[in-house]
Amino acid sequence: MSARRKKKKKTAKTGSTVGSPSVQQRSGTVRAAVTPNQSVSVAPAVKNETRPKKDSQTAQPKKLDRSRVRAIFLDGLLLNNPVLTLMLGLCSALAVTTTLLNAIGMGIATTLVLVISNVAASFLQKRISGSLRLFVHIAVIAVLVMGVDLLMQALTPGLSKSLGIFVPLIAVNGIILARAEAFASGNALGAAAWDGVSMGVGYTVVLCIMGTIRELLGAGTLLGHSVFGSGFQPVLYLALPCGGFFTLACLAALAQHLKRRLGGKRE
Amino acid sequence: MTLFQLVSLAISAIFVQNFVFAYTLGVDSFLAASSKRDTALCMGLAVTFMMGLACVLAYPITTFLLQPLGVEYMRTPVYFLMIAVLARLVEWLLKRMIPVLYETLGLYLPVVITNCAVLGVVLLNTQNKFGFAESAVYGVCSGLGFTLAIVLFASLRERLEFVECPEAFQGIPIALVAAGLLAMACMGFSGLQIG
Repeated sequence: MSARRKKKKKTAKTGSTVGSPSVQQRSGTVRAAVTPNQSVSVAPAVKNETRPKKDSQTAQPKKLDRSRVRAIFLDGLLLNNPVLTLMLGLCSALAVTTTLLNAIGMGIATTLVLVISNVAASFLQKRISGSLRLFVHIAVIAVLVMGVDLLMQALTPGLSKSLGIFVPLIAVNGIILARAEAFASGNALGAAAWDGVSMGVGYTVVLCIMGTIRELLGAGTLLGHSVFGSGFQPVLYLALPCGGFFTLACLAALAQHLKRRLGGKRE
Repeated sequence: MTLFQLVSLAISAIFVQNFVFAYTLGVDSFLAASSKRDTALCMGLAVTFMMGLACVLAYPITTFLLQPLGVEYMRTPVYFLMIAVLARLVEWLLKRMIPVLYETLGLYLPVVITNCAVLGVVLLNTQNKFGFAESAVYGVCSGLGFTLAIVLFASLRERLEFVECPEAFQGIPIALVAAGLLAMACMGFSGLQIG
């Protein structure tokens, strides 16, 4: 644990010193591409002179430009998908995806907690240091989850009841603490919030796919409506935990295949 | 609560309602720490220890603190913080008192914090309104069930490394298929009626 944190600190430091010029350069090239009338005449030296002034207005060590927005989103959706690649938050992914409605509810609730906890972690990064940070993150996440739990009990009592203990268990969903510790506490507010949204969307999409497959084949319904008619013989075992493992295995294999093709194309 | 009922609760927690295969709790660490059998055993024992300890401590907190104050809705943050502090405390104690045990169990304790099984068992205890003895037995035996599952799975995974499978299924996906088959085998216990 301590070794991991040391490593993280090191990367955070290098990120603020070495990383920022490269980001500036990248944003500079993007700017140049957007406004072609300047791109030829402006020399890199001039760019570097003008850049700090503009950056001091936004005053963030890592700027959120368009390419980074896309990179973070792709990261959450596929390359570092919380369920299929990082293998985090599987407990709820396997347990609640017996119906599509549960999957959607779980996905939205988790996304909400993820975004707010990421913003909080990014906000607190310079105010709290060392070993206390983990506990502060845990406290923030736990209180957020309590809020979401109470909100769901009040607004959607049926959904809250069918999700059962898995609503409070959002708190121990590994992806939330992992993003707060690994990404949000070294990044600016905007990037952290966007990372939360991307990871949440990636999580929700996977949950919805699993929920659709398992509800459609395991019960013959979709969102509670019968799809195949009365003659359909449901594949019961898909609705059981073992069916969840098989569905997840197929999706993980698909993600691995897609990632390999995407990587091959880039090279 | 008779002794017989406690025994039947224990058997049900270990085999019939296995945490990994019936509730899919703790699957994160189940997958992450199961590449070697020794690692898996250490992880399982660390989880069992934390589950027992958390259940024993959560009972007085619930009955003497949360219920009299009427703030039972606060239980998620309270339990989560309790588990985190407990894990850190035990890790620190082991490091100072029993370094041998620290090298085998202590390293896994930080990972246990975000294991759903630990918070899950505490929440299930509250949900089922278990008494003190039941909570403790249920906690320890669910942990033993987790240990059984992860050791079995690790033994399978050690052999999976030599399996030729399609490129897309290499690594985690084929391990998930194996976990699914194990879960299916574990369903055989569900017909078991005790008492």
